[in-house]
Amino acid sequence: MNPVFFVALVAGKLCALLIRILAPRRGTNIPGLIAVKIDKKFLTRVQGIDPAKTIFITGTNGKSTSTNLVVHTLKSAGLSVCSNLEGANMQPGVATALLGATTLGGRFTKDYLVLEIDERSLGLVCADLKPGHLCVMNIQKDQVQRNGEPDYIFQKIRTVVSSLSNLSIYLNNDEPRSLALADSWREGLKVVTFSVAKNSRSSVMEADWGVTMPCPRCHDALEFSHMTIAGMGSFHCVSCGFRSGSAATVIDSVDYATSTFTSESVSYHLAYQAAFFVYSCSLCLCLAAELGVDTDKVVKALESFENIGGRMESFTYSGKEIFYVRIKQENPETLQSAFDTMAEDSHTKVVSLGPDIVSDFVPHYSNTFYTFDCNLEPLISSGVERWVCFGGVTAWDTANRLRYAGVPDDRIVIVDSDDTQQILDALVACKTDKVHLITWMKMYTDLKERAHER
Amino acid sequence: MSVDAKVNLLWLWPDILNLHGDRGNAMAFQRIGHLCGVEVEVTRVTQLSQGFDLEKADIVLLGSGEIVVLLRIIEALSGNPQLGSWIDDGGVLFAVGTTGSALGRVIHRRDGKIAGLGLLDMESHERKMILGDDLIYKTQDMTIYGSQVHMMDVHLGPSQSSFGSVTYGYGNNGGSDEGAVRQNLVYTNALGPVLVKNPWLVVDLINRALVRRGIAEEDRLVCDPALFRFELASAEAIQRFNDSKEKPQWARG
Repeated sequence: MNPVFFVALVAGKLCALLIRILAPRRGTNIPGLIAVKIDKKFLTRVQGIDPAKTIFITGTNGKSTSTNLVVHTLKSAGLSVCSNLEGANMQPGVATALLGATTLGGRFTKDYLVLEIDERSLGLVCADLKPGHLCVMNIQKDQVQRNGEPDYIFQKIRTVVSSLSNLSIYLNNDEPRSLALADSWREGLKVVTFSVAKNSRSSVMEADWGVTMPCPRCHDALEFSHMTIAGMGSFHCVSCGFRSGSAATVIDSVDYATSTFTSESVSYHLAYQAAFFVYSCSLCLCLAAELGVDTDKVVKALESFENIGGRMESFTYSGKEIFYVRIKQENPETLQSAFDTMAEDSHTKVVSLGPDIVSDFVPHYSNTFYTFDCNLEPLISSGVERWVCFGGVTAWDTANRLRYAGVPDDRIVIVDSDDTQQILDALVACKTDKVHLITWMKMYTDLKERAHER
Repeated sequence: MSVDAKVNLLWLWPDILNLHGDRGNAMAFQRIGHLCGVEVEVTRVTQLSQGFDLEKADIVLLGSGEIVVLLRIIEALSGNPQLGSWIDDGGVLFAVGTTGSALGRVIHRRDGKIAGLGLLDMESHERKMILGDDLIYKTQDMTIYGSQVHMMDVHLGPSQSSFGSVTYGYGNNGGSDEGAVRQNLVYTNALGPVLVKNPWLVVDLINRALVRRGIAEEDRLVCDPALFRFELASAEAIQRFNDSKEKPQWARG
């Protein structure tokens, strides 16, 4: 064994052990960070990783949940799996996951390696670890301060796909950029697609102001006959003929009322109501079929699936029940999904919006333009008593977005402050007891703590 | 005040030039125009091969798009040979973000050059690193507030005037220049959507169209601050935030 690798392995394992003893809830990245620091080639030197049993899951939205679901399904089928379910999805996170599944002799001990990979880090990770299966959930607008535009990520993933051999790629048939990766087809590359058919939550484009996206192949305008989620659905390009085709795996019907869906006449349990989750299920069925996992085992796995961090967050304050819907910063699709989830609640409600400054790194900035990518009509017509817009910098912009969607001024309450007490007071002043809240995680935690203090 | 004639807005390729909530700019023309007493009729041009009639247009809107679509946009705009003379005649064209580069002379991508339309004397250079920040700048008459996601640095030629002067942010290339202007062709890096956040700029652009139509000064739009309470409060909050925040090295202001 390479001596540098051995030192890295021992140091990483010791670090992981120490963290487990001293701070069990922290340190997802640190053991792997140390191992990679000591041996830059750490990932390449682990023995016994079979590319045919190595699955990478990437894309803009839904990769964590999909990874959780795939891991759960394989484990339920009696297979052992190494994964980075704790969340770190870049090189050090991958190394941390491997440290827990590698003997001191440097040998990988599990049947499968299933990793969520950050779409920007995919190239770096693939330089060291070759997957036999690469799943792309979607390529959408996200964190523009880092990514600029979706094509930036599309090109990165396409470069990786072009560089790998003996690869099966699993593409979202309903998301144009993801499906366009099939254009990279060549000898040794197998393309498998997954899809979700039109269902009760599918929508058509807004009449006056609806917009789609450029065709990733010819860059002319794409048309959607319906969307299952914003930016995904049945599409075609009038100009070049690029279209969503017939996928290998299709979820034929979704019944949100009974929490079930069907594919090829088999009924499955739908553990979560979010439309993105249905795509995770579609990928899971698709992978299971390719890997030879029996359908009855998949049915059982889906019955018992519980997503890490998937619990609905809520707290009460002065008689108000406040439900938190988490979104990703600068990500219109997750914001749209949050609006759609809230619109499913037909009771009169208060909607509280605090998409404040973007603060991932310096410079922080006040971008809220992605809110104009979202359609508020279904939420508005679902019965909202008051719209409480808060945040020290962007509350007025949020309120203005509502005005543009047709919400009258007397329904809008503005708290142009980050003061948690002022925000809670504004919610208490509303008549309705049910509140849906969208804000960053930090603000949600602060609001919850303030509510518990009282 | 009410202007009899409708203002015709030609919204070019809204599905393609749809990167940063750009439909908000088209909405702002209609909403702000209506608030100030002029109806703005929006005509969408969807497909690149679809022709468009500049004779019927008072204002042309080009939203921000991905760099990869620029070549097709340049081809489609070149397909209308009247564009240059329409601009010389005072036609109002408003272009946002990276799409503005299509109006310049040359776009330097990392893997080659693309010839632009040459309507503006400027060149664009694709950046290695993406830059995102707020952007605040002054024109002769107003202050504009927005955000910027910069993927190409822009350098103006000697004959080219900038649209504004940066007071906070990066602008065209980290200097004081922001955007470019030639008669009523205005290009800005500011997103927001910029017209939603700056209704005073909408009023200015509509008035440019009304001047071209020969509408008398007393019938042009007036910017009534009482109508723009939300936008003014937003501008104040964003100015305050940027005055006090930790700034990157390159930011002016």
